[in-house]
Amino acid sequence: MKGCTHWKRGLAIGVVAASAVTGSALVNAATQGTVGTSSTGTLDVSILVPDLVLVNNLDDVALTYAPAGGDVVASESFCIWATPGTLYTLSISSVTPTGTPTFQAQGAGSSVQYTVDFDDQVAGATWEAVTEGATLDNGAAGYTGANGATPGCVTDNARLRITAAEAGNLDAADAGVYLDTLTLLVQPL
Amino acid sequence: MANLWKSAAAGLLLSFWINSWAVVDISGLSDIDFGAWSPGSGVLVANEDFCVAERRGSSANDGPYQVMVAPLVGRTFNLLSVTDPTVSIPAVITFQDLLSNLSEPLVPLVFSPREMTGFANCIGANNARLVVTLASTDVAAVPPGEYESLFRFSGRGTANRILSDDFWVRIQSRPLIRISGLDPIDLGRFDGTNDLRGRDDFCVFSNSPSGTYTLTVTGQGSGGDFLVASGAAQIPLDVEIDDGTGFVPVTPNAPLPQDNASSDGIDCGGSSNAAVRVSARSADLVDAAAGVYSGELTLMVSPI
Repeated sequence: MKGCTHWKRGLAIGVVAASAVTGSALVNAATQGTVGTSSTGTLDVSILVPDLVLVNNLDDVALTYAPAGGDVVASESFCIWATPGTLYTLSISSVTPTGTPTFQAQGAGSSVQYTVDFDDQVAGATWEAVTEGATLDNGAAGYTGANGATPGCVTDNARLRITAAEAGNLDAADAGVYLDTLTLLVQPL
Repeated sequence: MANLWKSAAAGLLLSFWINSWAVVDISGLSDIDFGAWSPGSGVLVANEDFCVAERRGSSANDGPYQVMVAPLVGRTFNLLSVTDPTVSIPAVITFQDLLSNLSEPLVPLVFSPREMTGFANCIGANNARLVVTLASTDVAAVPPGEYESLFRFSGRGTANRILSDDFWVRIQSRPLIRISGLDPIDLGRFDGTNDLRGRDDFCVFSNSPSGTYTLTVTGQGSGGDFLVASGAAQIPLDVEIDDGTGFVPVTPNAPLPQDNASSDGIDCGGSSNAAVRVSARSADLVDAAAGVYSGELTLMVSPI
């Protein structure tokens, strides 16, 4: 029986901090003063700032399908912050088996297929199709995140688009709730 | 001015006239002044050349004599503080016979066992040298001030006639200080959230009993600003110091009065009595590009 089919998906927040600076190449030293009417010594101070990235401002996405209502599409904007000068890559995985063509949300006895696209900006239409588990790297150039201030964004600077095509299996799905959890892995390039 | 000690016994006077051996002149013995001591390692040496005349018979000029140096206060060669005679600097005094190149370490109040070579008279030449030696570590260990002792040099001829002359040995110890025990501070890896902070404990030695001094910290930035750098990129630092009463912020190039310097050896006996703490704020670190940042702090201490 066909009815009003709706499904919801939850997005899990993935935060990854990785460093492109491996280990510490610090060469520290200190010099001692000599006895005198004044005495001077020195010491070195060192800091390692690694390539840091942060993804946040992710929210759950709920989509509702009405029969014969066409494809259901929703987008979720979020924030990717990176150390100044550090570019990032993105990969997305889900808790459900890989679907057709890429992702699927799982219901009680069936699933709904959907696709995911990524845009490294919140304006324009530079969507890139996401393959589950594959790394998006902007043609090896990497993406630019927000930087400075407290790690995070004043305004979101990236977004996902989730599309369940009516022509896929949406119109054949049983009524119910379909869930998936996406994990976004952001890494320094 | 030499002092002639004449023996009172008539028998000795008789012997004098028979042998005609006697120290008859000590000429040119002046005070030995090390002046204001400049710190250094090793020993401090000061020489004083003079003449001792010992006549044997009517014309011989190689008459033998023994020498002695006696402190007029105490029984050592120590140089005593003018303000506190309980504080002193040990000294070693050696006599050199410039004619025979004999060098004789002296024991206070004891005549040298070996005999020196005298001139027949003291006219235009020296044949004797007193060498006073001080250890730098001993001078560095005493409070600043004037140190001196009056000594009596005596020459004794074979007829047991003794001629003496007095001389001062002086040195001025200035206020001295040393900073040591400094080690690098690695603030480690920024985690994206928390401030970075590290400290180093060090030693400040001062020979001043008050233990007071000023500490001036300078960074490598413009105007001495505290920072670490990676190429042209910089991260500012906050610096605090502690003399045992708690950390207080430091301004670059601004001397900060401190207390608690140690007089227990120039390395504080291996312990610490001060600390420097360095911090980098998260708000600055998140603005920094990835990399290894390093910088240098210069710490200068001066006596108050």
